[in-house]
Amino acid sequence: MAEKLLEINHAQIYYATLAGYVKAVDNVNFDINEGEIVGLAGESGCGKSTLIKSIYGFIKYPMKAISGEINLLTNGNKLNMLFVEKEELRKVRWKYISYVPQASLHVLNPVTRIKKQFLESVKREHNVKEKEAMDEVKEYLKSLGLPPDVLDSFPHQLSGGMQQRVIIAMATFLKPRIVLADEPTTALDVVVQRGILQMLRDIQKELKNSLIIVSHDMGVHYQITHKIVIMYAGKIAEIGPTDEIFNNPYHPYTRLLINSLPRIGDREQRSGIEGSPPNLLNPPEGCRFNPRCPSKMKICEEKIPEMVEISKGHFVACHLFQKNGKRVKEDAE
Amino acid sequence: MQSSGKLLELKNVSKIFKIGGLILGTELRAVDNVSLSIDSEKPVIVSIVGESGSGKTTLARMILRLIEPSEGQILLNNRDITQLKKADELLEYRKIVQPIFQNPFAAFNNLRRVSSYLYDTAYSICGAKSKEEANKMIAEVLEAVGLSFEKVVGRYPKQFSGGELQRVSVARALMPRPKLLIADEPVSMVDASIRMNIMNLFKTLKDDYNVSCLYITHDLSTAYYVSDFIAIMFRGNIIEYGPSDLVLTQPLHPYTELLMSSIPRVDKKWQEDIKLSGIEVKEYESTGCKFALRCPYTKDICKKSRPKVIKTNDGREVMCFKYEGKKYEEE
Repeated sequence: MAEKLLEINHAQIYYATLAGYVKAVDNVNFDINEGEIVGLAGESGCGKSTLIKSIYGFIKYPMKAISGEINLLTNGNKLNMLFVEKEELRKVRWKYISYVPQASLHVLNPVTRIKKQFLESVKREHNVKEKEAMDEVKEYLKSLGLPPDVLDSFPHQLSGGMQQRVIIAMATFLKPRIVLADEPTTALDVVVQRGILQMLRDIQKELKNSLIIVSHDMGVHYQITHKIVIMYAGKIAEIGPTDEIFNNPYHPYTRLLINSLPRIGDREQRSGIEGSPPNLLNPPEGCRFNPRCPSKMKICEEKIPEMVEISKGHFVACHLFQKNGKRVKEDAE
Repeated sequence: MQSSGKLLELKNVSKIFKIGGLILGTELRAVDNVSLSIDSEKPVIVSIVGESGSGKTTLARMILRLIEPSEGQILLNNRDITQLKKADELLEYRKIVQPIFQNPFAAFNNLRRVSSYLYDTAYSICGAKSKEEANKMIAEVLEAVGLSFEKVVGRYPKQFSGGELQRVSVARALMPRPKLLIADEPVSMVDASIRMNIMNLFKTLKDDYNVSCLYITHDLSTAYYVSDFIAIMFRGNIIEYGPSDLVLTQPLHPYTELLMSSIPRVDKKWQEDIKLSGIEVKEYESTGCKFALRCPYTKDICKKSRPKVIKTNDGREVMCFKYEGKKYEEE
């Protein structure tokens, strides 16, 4: 059994607004083991980014951790990232847990050469001489297939894909146990996207750590993840091994999400999911998906569905399934 | 090539941007010698697909008269659009061609009511005489995109979701009953789950309202889903053009092959690895085939001279030395 690196127990992270709390992440539970690539999927506004920011301990007003635990397990120590001291955070970031933000021009400092930015993130941790660190960095970039001359460039001289690869190199240089990647390929085109995903996967294989990847593109999840967490309106709808999720989606939302993807070679009429995600200030009673669900029952408006395990490692929170995993009725088309 | 019966025709259009100073500056051909046409008889959806920096948006901006081409001609109903100067000519142009932009939240001013844009279009382009007439026009187009008049009028952009707002911008573009919509990445800001609703809308517009559409995107799967024809752009050139069924299921050009194999599909996993490069600027300046540096089939000739456009028997055009000579006749 692989070692557990992260456990999330009843995490509740809300945003404070004048009208009340926006329940962006509401009672979320799951674990992440060593060597796993976990995908977080769902529409925008379902809490994926809020969750990943909280895992990184990046909680700033109006975002507020209400209760629960996101425990980072480092060498037998538990560190609850939801309520953590700044000093503690500094010790674990980059070394144990690192963060790759969305590919965008806002990540790298536009007026500083890459070299300096790289060293800033590396030296602070290592207390090594600049020259030595530099050699190490060059070696690392080479091993990732990046030309070392990027170090002398300014960010605007690099293409979006190259910038993103540099950011990934920075985030993984200190061999962190957990790498968080928030929509790492969103603004990039398909060829570059594929290259970047490969790079993330290869690094994960090499370091044998865990990678958590947020994406709204189910194709990305299918290609590289081992396990998928489907989120809807701040709650988990379904968790399971990637192949299982694609072959046997249990939650109607997952099914619609997968079916709304166009496929090449198949011109069949497809439709998106009707309606839009609910306002999380006042989420609907019962199951939060019920206003859009094609298989809605009476109970869905009344009771929040519990997570049930249907097959090994495949959980779903839907009233279509009883506690013992039996299906109540077939999905409506 | 015949010039009659074409709604839109691009003849060897290029756009050159100057980079850097007067003396040391270099030229970048963002769009390089592109020819493309859309028939006026039957409405079609033509996709222009390419990666970022392939020149697809520059091409769209030229057709929309936002920038002028450096070389070549853009003809709309056989009239050069850069020569349109008089107000009534421009009005005529705007009645035929309408844009839809990428980010609906950027296209509408946050402080103006969404409906004010609809009224503007009704009065200034469609020539509505009275408020009742304008209301009627607006209600009609909103219905066409699946929204109701009451739901839209008087509300501000922030009160809509991205998908709804994009529908409003399609409705606005539809009001003058255009023949051609230029849609530049209309769904990239919209969630994957509701993307298909907007794509279906374009199909309906084509079938029920006879509107042709130039759909500019980097997303091959939606392009395949809606379009009749597809043009693959690479570094300013259209390197492959043809019916979308053929181009995307049996690609001819090696770059199209690479694109196809890079789509994160949900039915087949990637087997082998690909290689990325950091040589983009070199590719623009290359005098040979621009893909030669990354192409698996590169020969000497590819690096030296630019391949010609070759027409194939099944109605496709491809720009690659692989197909020169033997199998197909040159243009």
